[in-house]
Amino acid sequence: MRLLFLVFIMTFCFFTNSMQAQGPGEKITDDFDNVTLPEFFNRLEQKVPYKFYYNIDQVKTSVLKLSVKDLTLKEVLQEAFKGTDIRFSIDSLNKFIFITSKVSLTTDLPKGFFDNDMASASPRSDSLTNYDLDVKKATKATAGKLYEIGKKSNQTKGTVILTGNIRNARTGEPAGNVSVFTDSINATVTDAYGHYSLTIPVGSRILNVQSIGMKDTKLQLMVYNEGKLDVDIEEEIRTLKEVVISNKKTANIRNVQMGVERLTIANIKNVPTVFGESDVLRVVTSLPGVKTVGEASTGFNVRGGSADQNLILFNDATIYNPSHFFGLFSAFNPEVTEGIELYKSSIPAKYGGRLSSVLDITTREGNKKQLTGSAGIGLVTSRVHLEGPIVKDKTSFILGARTTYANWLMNLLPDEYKDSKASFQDLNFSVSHMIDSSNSLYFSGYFSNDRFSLGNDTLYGYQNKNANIKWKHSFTNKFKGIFIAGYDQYNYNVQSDNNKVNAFKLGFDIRQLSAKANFDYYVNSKHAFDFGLSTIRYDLAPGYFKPFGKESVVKYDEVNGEQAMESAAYFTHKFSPSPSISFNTGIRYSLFNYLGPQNVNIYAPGFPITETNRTGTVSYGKGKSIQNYSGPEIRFSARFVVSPTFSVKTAYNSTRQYIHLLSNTSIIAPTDIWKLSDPNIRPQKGEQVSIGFYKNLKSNTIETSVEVYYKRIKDYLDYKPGATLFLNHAIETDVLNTKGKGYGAELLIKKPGGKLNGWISYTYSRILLQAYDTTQGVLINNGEYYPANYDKPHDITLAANFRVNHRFSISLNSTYSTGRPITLPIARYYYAGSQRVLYSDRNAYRIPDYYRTDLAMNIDGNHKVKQKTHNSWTVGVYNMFGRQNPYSVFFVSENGRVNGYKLSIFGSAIPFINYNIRF
Amino acid sequence: MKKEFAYICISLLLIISSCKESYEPPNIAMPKPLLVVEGNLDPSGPVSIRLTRTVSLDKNNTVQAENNAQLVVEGKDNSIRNLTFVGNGYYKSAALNLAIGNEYRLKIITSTGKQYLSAFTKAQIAPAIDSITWRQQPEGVRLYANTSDPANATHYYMWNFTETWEYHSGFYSEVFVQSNGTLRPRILPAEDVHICWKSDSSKTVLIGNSLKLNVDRISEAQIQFVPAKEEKMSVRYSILVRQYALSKDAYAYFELLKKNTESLGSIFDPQPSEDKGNITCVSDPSEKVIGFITSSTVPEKRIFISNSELNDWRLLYLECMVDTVPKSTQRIQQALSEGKLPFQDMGGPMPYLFSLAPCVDCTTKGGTTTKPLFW
Repeated sequence: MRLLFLVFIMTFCFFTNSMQAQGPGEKITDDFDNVTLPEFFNRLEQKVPYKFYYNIDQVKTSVLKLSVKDLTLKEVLQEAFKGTDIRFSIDSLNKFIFITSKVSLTTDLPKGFFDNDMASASPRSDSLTNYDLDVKKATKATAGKLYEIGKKSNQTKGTVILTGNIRNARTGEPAGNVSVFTDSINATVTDAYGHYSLTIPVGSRILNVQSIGMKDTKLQLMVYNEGKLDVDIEEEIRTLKEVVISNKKTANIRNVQMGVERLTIANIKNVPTVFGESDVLRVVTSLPGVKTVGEASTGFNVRGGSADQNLILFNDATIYNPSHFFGLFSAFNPEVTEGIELYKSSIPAKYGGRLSSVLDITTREGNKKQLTGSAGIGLVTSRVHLEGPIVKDKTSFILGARTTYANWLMNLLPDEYKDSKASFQDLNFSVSHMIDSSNSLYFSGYFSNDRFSLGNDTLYGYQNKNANIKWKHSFTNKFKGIFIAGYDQYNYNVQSDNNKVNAFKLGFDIRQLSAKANFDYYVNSKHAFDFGLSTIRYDLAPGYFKPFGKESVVKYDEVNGEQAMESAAYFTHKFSPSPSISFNTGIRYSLFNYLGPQNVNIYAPGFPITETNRTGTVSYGKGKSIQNYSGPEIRFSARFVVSPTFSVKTAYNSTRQYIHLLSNTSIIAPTDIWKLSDPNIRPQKGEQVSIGFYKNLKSNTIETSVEVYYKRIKDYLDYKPGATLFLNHAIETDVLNTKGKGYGAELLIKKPGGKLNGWISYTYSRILLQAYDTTQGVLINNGEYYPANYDKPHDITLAANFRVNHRFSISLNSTYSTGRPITLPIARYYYAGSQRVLYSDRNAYRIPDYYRTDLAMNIDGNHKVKQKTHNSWTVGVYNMFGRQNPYSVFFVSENGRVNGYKLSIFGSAIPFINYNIRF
Repeated sequence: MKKEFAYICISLLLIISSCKESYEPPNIAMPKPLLVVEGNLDPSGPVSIRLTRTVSLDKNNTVQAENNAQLVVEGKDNSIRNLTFVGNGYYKSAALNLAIGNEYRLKIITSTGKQYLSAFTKAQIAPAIDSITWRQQPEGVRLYANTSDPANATHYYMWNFTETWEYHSGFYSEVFVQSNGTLRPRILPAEDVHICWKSDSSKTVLIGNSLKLNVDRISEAQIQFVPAKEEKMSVRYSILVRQYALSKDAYAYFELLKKNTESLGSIFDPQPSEDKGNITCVSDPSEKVIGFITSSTVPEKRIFISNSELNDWRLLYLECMVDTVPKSTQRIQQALSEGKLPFQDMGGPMPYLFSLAPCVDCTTKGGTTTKPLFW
């Protein structure tokens, strides 16, 4: 303890001085005969102008017999302690001598300790070529230690790059999204693999490693040159006394990208959901700028984009239908999910293929130290997850599975549906393997299955199947690559065999093979690059209808399969000319090839694409390129830090989309059909400009932001009246191109930590479409702008969590939004021999506004660290006030009258209870 | 398919919520019923235009006629021809003798003084109907129109029809019910109610085009379907098909009208959209007007189908049960009040034979005993 104190004093004393090492000059002649050490020091102090510092307990027992003549002080001490474990250090500047046991103190600090301007000991190139990958490892236990980065002999000046991996000390999993910083300028965040690259000035630095739910770690560094430092951080175990943590997170201020929402699974679990099942997508829809058209729809709309304009990635696999059970549940198991990132505005150039947003969902890597798991039981679903090492510290797996027992719900159906069944399952399996410090392999597999039958004859089902393999390779400390190959499949089918003669099977499927190479090159704190290539091979079966069973006489029909390649090359330059200004400039060039075999309908040019204007059909052979579309996409964002708590960001983004969801309902229904761009259906194009202001208050404990955007969409497909989508061999005749404009503002106040945490957001957004092309025949609403199906201008969401104590917390979720637009029948008239209904302009009316409040209580079992299982209960009420929010309004003709009905999905308060166990 | 899914989906959602409530759309801005104009300016034949108004959704099926308006057919050649109001929203004229190829429009001045104009429409000649053919299939009889235009100038066609059929009651009635409720023998054949004729007109928009073909020909455009064993073909059936030539715009209007309105909306139904006709309100251009005025000659064709030409199309009158009703005033009154009619007097003290009214008196099914002139 005292030793540390001395070091501290010493450091303090030297603070403003440069260093020199030299011995004391005075010669000493004396005779010491059986003197105690304190006596010996006293006598020396009288002869030389030095003061001795020692621990009396260490030295009081020793006696000394020594005779010296014309020796320097140093020589005297060397002589005196020869063969003992007593060590001394001379601080000639301050005239101090430190006596220690076993180890000697270094009184002179390393060369360059205070002096950043001193000449480099070796040329910079040399420091690179001689670079020694001296991986240091730090844990909390050694936080008091001084870590030397780079070789002392190889020191440089200015700034260098420190890289490394942050891991969870208990489980060995990489810790993503951890802040690593020395000060507000030299700060970074780890990526999903726990990797960080930080630019820091040489010299003595304090490195901070912080993350929510983890203990703050401070490491003392002595930086000579580039180096690598891996840090294992410990989870924060809740203590009984409250710990006040002032969150120094400034990521929202510092991040160059704008319109990015990051949530960890811990955030997600705090938001109450229907049936108590933590729901990734439902939490996403509570974020500013994200809307949903109704409760039984997992599709969501980002900044006025349609539901198919979101790229949903689950461990880099594309998920086409992210929902279970008519959209009541999202298809992602919360137990294996690590977190989500939603890009609403600046979409990184490495992502493409969708217009509005990218939702990136990542799963955790398995525990590399020991086998653990959890299980949960809810009203409708049960889930289990298991994770652990295959080879300790090297290879781990994580497995998650969920299943439902919703059949009891079906028993509540009317008698005619007595034999109804509904079930869903999903399964996740990932393996991560660290080959060596610069090579890692990851395998990830996902499967979801939904089956339901209503009545006893017709069986509906849909499946997602995804698998991919990833290789992460560090070429050098600054240059890393990730290579991914994957296979994604989604299919939907219906079969009915009640009537043997009419028994049928129908469905469609999408298969895609993808490959991607992504490279990150971190040059220095001013320049960083990422670039890569990606390609997707699509294989779509847009629809088949075939007899089922031998006796069936239904006529076989199938829409020709579609094939295409979508490839892209991209390049991003991250440039920070000064700590307060950063630019992120990305360009993506995408190329789409529509391939044979295919029969393409030809229409008279300049005339509406209708059956009546079809002039012929051209057949293309297998693999033949039928149509190419290509174009650049710009992804630019800039950040200006005005003060450490205030920044301004702006972004321009353009995107292209070659695959379209054809649905004439406003939600993602399992029956919806995906269609590739072809000679008659142009790709959708979008562009968005946005500006945002970010201000943190109260020592960064409260984050506020205002983001404003304007976007344009071109060639978005809307449907002609009376369009038929399934088994339509000329689907282009039933759709028409529209252009859209969207604009909005998003206000967010967020308190990420503390006893009371959560966010409140207000979103104003409009999305208007226009059927502008007069050559397309009948125009919607006379070619005027009309609101899209999912245009909901006002939206206020409150998500709050109050931690009463460590075992009990309350969550409240409240949301209000404008009702979505609908087209209403407004009158009737008699024409051409019968009664007919007159409709309003498209989407001229709105269903009533939506309002809902949910409450949940989380009760944890005791927090003894060492016990076999930890358990917790979640109890709550969904739609607490039982408001009957209309999901839809529809009209039926009854007894010569047209009557309107509104349909609520959750028309009453729904209580739920969930039991979770962790082992 | 989609519909079925939709229905099931709704049912499922309903049990979760049990929440289907009556809904009155708020503020549906329908301050004034809109004018609906229907008709064809036949260049050579008589013209009939009907004006009606839209009615609100919750009203029962009624047609609200727009009466006492002034209708004028104006030609681009500055010619003027008047139509005469004949009642119930109908405005008629004898042959207008419009010049083929010339353009005409309809001017309407309502009784409140509002003025409406249709777009100028070229008077067209519709080619003759080549034939009306039919085919019997297990599910019924399908009737088709066949036409062709050797001049290759029509392309867009519309049809409507009036069908007439002869039908017989199950029993031959010899008993007449007098207005005071007493019975007497029927005076035959003057009071015969065994044989009737009934007519109906088309209820759907029937359109077709020849654009996919190299020649301007319509082959077998289905215009009517009579389900198997319907009374319509139990004796003899006749259909009069009228053919119209449409302009491209008119065709688009009727095509959309058909898609929009021949099924009513449910949530999974495709989105309807506004159908814009060719009539505008001059006094208030923002006011919508429904309807499309066409101008085409109307060639007609009639065919007959006798029951003997059909296979297995016998009516069994299974619902026609016979009741014996004693000759007591009270019992007779009771049978009459139950909707039964007498058809035979067994004589003397023997009872009357009664059956359900439609089995006895064919006029109770809406037909007339007057034989049509063309029959």
